[in-house]
Amino acid sequence: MYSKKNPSLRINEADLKCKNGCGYYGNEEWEGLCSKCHHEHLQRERLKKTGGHSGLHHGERDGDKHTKSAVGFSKFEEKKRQQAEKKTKLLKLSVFRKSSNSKDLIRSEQFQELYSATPELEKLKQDYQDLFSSVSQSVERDVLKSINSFNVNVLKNADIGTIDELSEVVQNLYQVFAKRMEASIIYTDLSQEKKEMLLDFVEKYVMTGLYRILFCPPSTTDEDKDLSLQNRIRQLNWVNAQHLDCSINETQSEVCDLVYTAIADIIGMDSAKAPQDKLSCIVRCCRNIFLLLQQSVGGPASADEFLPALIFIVLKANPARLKSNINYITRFCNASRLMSGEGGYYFTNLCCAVSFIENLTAESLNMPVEEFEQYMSGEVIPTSTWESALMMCEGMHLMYEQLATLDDLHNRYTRFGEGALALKEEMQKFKIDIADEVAAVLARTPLTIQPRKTPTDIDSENPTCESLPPPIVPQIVAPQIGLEPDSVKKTESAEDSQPNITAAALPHDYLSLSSPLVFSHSLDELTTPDDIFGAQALSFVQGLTSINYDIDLSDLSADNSYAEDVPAADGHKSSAMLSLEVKPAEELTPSLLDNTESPTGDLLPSPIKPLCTGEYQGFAAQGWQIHSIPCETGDTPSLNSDACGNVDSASSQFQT
Amino acid sequence: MRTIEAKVVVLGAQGVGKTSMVVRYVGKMFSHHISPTIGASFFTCRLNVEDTRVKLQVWDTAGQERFRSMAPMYYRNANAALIVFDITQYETFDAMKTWVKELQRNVLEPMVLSVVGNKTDLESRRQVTREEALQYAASIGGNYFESSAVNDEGIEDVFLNTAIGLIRLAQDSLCSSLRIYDLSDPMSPVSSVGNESGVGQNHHSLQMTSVEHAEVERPRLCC
Repeated sequence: MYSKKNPSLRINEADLKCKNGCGYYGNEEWEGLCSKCHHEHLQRERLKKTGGHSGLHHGERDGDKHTKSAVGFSKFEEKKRQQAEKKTKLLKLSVFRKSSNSKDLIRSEQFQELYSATPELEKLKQDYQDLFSSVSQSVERDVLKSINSFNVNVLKNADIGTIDELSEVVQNLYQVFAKRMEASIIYTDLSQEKKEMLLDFVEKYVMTGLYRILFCPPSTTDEDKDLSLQNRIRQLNWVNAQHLDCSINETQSEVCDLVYTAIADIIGMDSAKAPQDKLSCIVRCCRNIFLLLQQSVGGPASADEFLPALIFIVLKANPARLKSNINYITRFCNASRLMSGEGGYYFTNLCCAVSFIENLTAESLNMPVEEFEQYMSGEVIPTSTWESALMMCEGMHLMYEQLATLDDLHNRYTRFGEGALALKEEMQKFKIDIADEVAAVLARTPLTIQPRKTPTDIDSENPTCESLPPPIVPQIVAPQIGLEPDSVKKTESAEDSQPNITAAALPHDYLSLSSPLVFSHSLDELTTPDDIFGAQALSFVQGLTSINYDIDLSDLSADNSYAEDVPAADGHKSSAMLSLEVKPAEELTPSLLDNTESPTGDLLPSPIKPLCTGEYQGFAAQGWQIHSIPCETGDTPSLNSDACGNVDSASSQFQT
Repeated sequence: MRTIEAKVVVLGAQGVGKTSMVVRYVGKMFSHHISPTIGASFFTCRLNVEDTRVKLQVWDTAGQERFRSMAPMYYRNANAALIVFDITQYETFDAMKTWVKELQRNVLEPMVLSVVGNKTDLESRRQVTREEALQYAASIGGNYFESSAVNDEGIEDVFLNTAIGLIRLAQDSLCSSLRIYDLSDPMSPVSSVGNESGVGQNHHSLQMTSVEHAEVERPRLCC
């Protein structure tokens, strides 16, 4: 209650003191006096006083503080009643007395001005926009007319009758409207559903409009009951779920959340205006209770569990103006509909809960009277109250949340690990699959692919092969070789000793050495090292290689054998190379060796020297770069030379 | 078709199986529609008996002794009451008697009273004999049924008989709180609901003797 009446404006503390200087707090609305002084003041000039309702509320709060601390609750109660009376008078004076004196028409106009423009009613109209767009205009007009007459009727009775009479009037009006819908021609083509909705609309519209007059009217003692109930609940704040035998697991976070939701729902009831809206708040609250019971019990909850839980929620929520709200719903909700359906059931349960709380005794909590008294007087505080549970819950909540996060992380981690493993397996499988496939393909293809490829290659290049044959003439090459290096021939012929043998030896050497080169050519140019060509091809190759050789040299050229070159370049032996000229470097060395071994070598240099040195340095610059070949030739020529030697010796023997 | 809307309260001590009985009845009707796990203390169901549709609002109540004083709030405006006891616990039978006394004291309008002895599946531990219960039911002008929520026996009979009793009440027009509509209006939501097939077979005769052979129309609405 106190929280509901927060002062809208804060003033300095000094200004709050009573002007009479009695030390208590004063109030602007009471001309700066405290409640007591103002009361006395009022006694004197009661009728002169005018003021707003909000002011009264405002004052009431400060008055609360004051009287409670100073005089006590009973006094406060008394004062409050006086205020309530005053409020009634003010209400009657300022709003209704006047209007009741005037004509009904004026009053209804006044009423329209008062209520039709409020945002709530506008919103309500918008909510039902669909309904009205689906019905005819005459229906809409009639409904609005009914609402008007409804309002007028209620207002007419508002200032004369008691609240119960007013309730009766309202209930009658509901029935009148319901009957009107049944009887009137305007509504005949409407479905039952639409009629129900119209009934809903009328009830909501009227009640929202008349809320200020009908809710907790000053003529009743509702407000006092609210206060006493509120105090009662406050006194009972030590009651926990165990006392009520209700199976709410306070430490479970989901349950806790649902408890909060249920509490919020029941507290929200006070802010709703139409009785139906209040009822739906109750229904929402109760459904949440069933949900949380389901969590706690682990199955469908029964009424045996539901009622204690509802009592627990009401005790912990301590909803504002609970009694007023209940009375308001009982009086002004369409009775024929209230008591049918879910809303009615839950409302009845709420009434039961309230009645239980009001009449709560030690017996009803199954505890000794002394203990109950101790708790009620606040001497002893039970160990596990809801509040302490809440305190614990904070930590628990946090822990649960973090545990949940951890779990989540762990789950993700394991999922990730599993994913990685799966991926690994997949990769391995893929690898094996591919290997298998490749092996299979390899097993299948060597026989098929190669023949296929080579014939086609051969076919495709056959024309080139055909174009080649003329070079095959190299059968003539033998003379060519002899012809080509004229100088060599000359030198050889000049040697006289064994020109034929060296010439014969050369092709042999060359063949053995050049065979890898030939293959490389065949690979590169896809020329055919076919068997058919045989020796012809070889000899032909010689011709080829003699042409291609330069290219090979440049390809093979490496930088590392510079040192080898230098001595070769300046020595006489280099001149021996000259004798071979176009012949590959390999041939040079054997000839060199031959020369060195043969005494004839000394004879050769002299004529060649002047010719070649200048010419051959360029060639040697290329020649020295072929490092590997001299190594090989170093060995083979020695054999060759041996062979040559043998041949020589043989020939010499033969000659001899 | 005439429609009767009635409020049925289920009374009885804690643990006698009030809720299981109701859940069993409504749950069986809706097993393939809604799981009746939420809001298991308020149900509506409809039965067709002859040419009358009976809408039952079943209000489950808390059976604890401490809530005894609140019971009148529940059975205010009720048209029928199912008073349930546990045949294996004699004290629940005694408790039931006090419920009935209270009921009779507080409710002035005529009511359909049904005494239900639950848990016949525990026949071996029976403490309340069938004869005793029958005798008692007759003394308060009610019917006696035995049922087992576990085995789902005899529960339909309870509700069916209640519906038939309500129709009788409506015929006698003794009860003002009973809501009776004459719904000849084809636009009414009640009759516009589908699933009307086999209506003839589903109708029940008013003779009590033939009740056992009657079938219950599947209720269509439940909260």
